[in-house]
Amino acid sequence: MIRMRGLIAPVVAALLGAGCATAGADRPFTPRQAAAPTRATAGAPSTETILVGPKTKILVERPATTDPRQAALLKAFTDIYTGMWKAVVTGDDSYLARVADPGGREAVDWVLSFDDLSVRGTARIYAMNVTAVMDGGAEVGACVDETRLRVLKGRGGVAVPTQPAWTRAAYLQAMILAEGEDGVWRVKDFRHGKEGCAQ
Amino acid sequence: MNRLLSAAVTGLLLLDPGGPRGDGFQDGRTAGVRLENSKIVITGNGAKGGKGDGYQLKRPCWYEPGPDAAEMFKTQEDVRAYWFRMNPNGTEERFQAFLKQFKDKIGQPGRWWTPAYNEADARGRACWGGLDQFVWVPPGTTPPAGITLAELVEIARAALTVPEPQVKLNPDAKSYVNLPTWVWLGGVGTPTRSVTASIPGVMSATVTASLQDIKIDAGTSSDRAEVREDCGTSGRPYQKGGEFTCGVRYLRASVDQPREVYVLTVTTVWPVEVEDDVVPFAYDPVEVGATRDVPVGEVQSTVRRR
Repeated sequence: MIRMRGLIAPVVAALLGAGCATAGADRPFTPRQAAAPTRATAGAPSTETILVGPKTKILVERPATTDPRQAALLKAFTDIYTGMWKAVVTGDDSYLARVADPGGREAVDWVLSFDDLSVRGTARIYAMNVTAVMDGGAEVGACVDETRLRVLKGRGGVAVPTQPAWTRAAYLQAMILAEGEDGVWRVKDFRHGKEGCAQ
Repeated sequence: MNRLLSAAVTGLLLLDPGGPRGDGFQDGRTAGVRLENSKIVITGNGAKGGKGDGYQLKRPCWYEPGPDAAEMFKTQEDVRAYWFRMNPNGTEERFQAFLKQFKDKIGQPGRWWTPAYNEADARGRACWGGLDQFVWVPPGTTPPAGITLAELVEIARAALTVPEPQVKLNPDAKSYVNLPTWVWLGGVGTPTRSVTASIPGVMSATVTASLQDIKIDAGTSSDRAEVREDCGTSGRPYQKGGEFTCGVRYLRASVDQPREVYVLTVTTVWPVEVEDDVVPFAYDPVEVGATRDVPVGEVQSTVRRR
């Protein structure tokens, strides 16, 4: 028997046709409702500001944890989320090192969907939560507020007159992560929900 | 949206770039199983329309038989555009080297197995995340975490639902101290519910639940209520002059209770069997309950001397 890691982008890129989840109605799912694994949190949460471009930044409100695995998972979510925005704003595609199939295709499509558009402003990640960990897989969810981002025509251009729907309300973003043999967590799939993140 | 088609609709995406990534969370956790990336077929009168008991699979993800070598090779060849997008420095030579692992399997006995999971389980996606994208499996063998007949039975068991009982009472609207309140069930229908989980052409497992008993909780202590549970499988509908064997005789009024009612609970008990005993099992019965508010009053009588 031969076991293979699928499409860990910089190493092996294997693209499998199967694996398309069925789209459907959003269910009322919040980080609080999800089954949480054992958590080791202590102290106060921290807020970090990450610049992804000259006029674009991400505020990350990360819960404190004494568990190194939890910390690595929260950081992986942050790195992938900010990396994808960095690709949109600056063209830096280093996020590809943190994606695995089939979610990798999702991530690539997401970045490419901006084409010649860019963004300016501030996004915020809050209510981060490791919702499940099992063997070499995990799910991390967080509320994402992109209401202070503006989509621009071209890098450094003017705001497009009709801003996308996601600039009007925060939403729940989840990532399904896989730990590679190199110890790096990569996103393998995404999920989202519209409820549970109202401020 | 089929992700393989997504490149073709990039033009549409340009109208509304970015936004939430991935599919929406799914709704409808009424049954204990919602299969993702799976070829397993679930059928039977117990597969929908009822209520499950929250039975959880021991492991909510697994490998199952997938494409043969030729199909897999074609799939990988067909998505070359993505390979180059995800490997910006990739060359044709490297892509061909990548394809070689699939090409080499053509003509060899065996097939690729791919990961699937139970989306209805909160651990399902994380579990799937920890599995490889595909595993080459020689004939007659099962890889670690590969689905077995025992796991297929588990999936059928988790998908098993039974009807929610409708509690019928006599008297219906209000009972009285010392008056027998007869209890029986409506809407149960067929007293057996089966679920079959099968991988077409590979293996199949069936579990069956049979309604055996009902349990009555009067909603108060034994000094306030006397419960009779010789009920058969679905209680005893009221019969004028009949023997009272299934129900509750309340001994005190409910006026001092919250909302001035006793909350009576009837639980149906459905033992579970695996068809043909294909694997050793010891499942707890499926138990599903329903409640009714029972206001209990006192009959006031006045004795007059003539």
